[in-house]
Amino acid sequence: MTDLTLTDVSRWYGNVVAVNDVTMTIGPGVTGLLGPNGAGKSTLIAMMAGFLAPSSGEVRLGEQRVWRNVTAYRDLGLVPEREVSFAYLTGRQFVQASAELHRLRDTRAATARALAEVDLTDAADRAISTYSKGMRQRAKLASALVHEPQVLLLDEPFNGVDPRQRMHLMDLLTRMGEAGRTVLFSSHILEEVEQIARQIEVVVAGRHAASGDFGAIRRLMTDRPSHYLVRSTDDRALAAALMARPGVRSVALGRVGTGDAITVEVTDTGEFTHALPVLARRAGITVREIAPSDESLESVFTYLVQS
Amino acid sequence: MNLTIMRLALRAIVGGWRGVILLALPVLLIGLAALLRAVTGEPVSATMVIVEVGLAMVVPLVALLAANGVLGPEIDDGSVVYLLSTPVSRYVVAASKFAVAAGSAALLSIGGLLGASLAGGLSDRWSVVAVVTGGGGAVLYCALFTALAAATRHGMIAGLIYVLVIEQLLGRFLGGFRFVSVRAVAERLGESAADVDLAVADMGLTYAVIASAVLLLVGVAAAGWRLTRFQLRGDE
Repeated sequence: MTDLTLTDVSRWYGNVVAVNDVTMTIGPGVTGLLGPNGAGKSTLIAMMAGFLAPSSGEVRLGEQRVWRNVTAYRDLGLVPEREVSFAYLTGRQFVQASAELHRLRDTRAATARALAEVDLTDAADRAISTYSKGMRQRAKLASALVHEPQVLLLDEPFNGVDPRQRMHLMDLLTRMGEAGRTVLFSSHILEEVEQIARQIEVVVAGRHAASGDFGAIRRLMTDRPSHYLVRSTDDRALAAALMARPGVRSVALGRVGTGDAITVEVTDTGEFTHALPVLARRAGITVREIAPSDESLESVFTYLVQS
Repeated sequence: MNLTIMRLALRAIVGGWRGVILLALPVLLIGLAALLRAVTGEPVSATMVIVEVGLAMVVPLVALLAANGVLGPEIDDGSVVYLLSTPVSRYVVAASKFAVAAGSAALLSIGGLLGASLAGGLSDRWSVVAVVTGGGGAVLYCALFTALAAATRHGMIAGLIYVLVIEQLLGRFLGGFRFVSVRAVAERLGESAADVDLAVADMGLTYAVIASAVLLLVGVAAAGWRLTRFQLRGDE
């Protein structure tokens, strides 16, 4: 009942493949769906929520199919990335409408409980148009969990939310996960995901690139050769000294075009960052600039896909 | 029918500029009838005020605004997802939204046409015509426009093209088009209810009644069917 199962799911739009043969099972607890922008996270969530037909494969919630099956929403809550356009309603009216549509027995009590759960009781009688981004996010969340669904899907819930509200939302999701619900949220920020997700599913370019607990994913992402760009008063001497270190795999002199820097390929980032200042000082070289040249999340993901 | 969906739909219609224009259209029609009568001192031309301006312009515009108000924007911006991620049947969602659009449009159309008939000093027969064609026309137009709003992102434009091209332009020169004209069907219903000549007598009454029933059924069912296949597109 609480497992969301994707079997060989693909989705394409004409010639463009948005999701490519994904098989995964999302169980109870908090799961993070991690991937760069445009990786297919929203497409995946839309298919999980029954708002997109897989081009091939199948999405099931427990035993039931989710596409074209409105009864699935008894056990499923969705917090879309999309803003609420019912901004003229108050938070309470918005959540109350959701409670009524789910035909709950005591809609008032359920609404009050959901609002309290997301800590929105004080602002509940103000129009949504006056809410901050974080409050809107919480109103959407309250509306999605008013019927206490077993499975909750959230599409980029932390986007544009200020740090304090983000902490609050994270606490909330953690509590729901601990209560045995299946919570899945998408994000393109690793730090965000590893703070609360027990299980992480990585999606890159529509493909399921990695799956595991945050420790395993973190190791996959950090234990890889990375490149640094270093500029100093004596690039050649520094390059020679660096090359002697075991954690350095290669050093290239000269940056393309300018020729005034060295590119260091490092297999042990920790060792390198400690060694560099010591080496430089010993050789009397001043380091003017050091920058990771491929630390963007995209390059991390690209590495993951290649391996 | 679902009362919650209906309540939200009503707020979508009356809220903002849409509500103002919806109310302004019938009021303007009444104002026009009153003005013409005051200037000429005689009862207004029924064909002009009730049929040419009222039924041909005010009724379809009111229906277009109402039908697109309940469905169009929500589908456009994807926020209809908040109503659809519930166990309520999509056909019930479509029927409820249609009911609100048709109800409001009928109320405003009847009000406008009846008010214009009275303000223009027309006979009681024209009051009957105003109620039948205004109410019937509004409901039928709404069925068509609701289906168009569900079928395409450009429901408003599709509706305008239907009224301007099929009804006004082609219908005027090619008589056969009256058989796919909501206006002609509404006129035929009006003719049969009151003893007036709206020049559509060559259309069978049976045809008008059956066409109305089919349009209602197909329009609402098409909108519901479209909602069962509603897809949330990611931004990617």
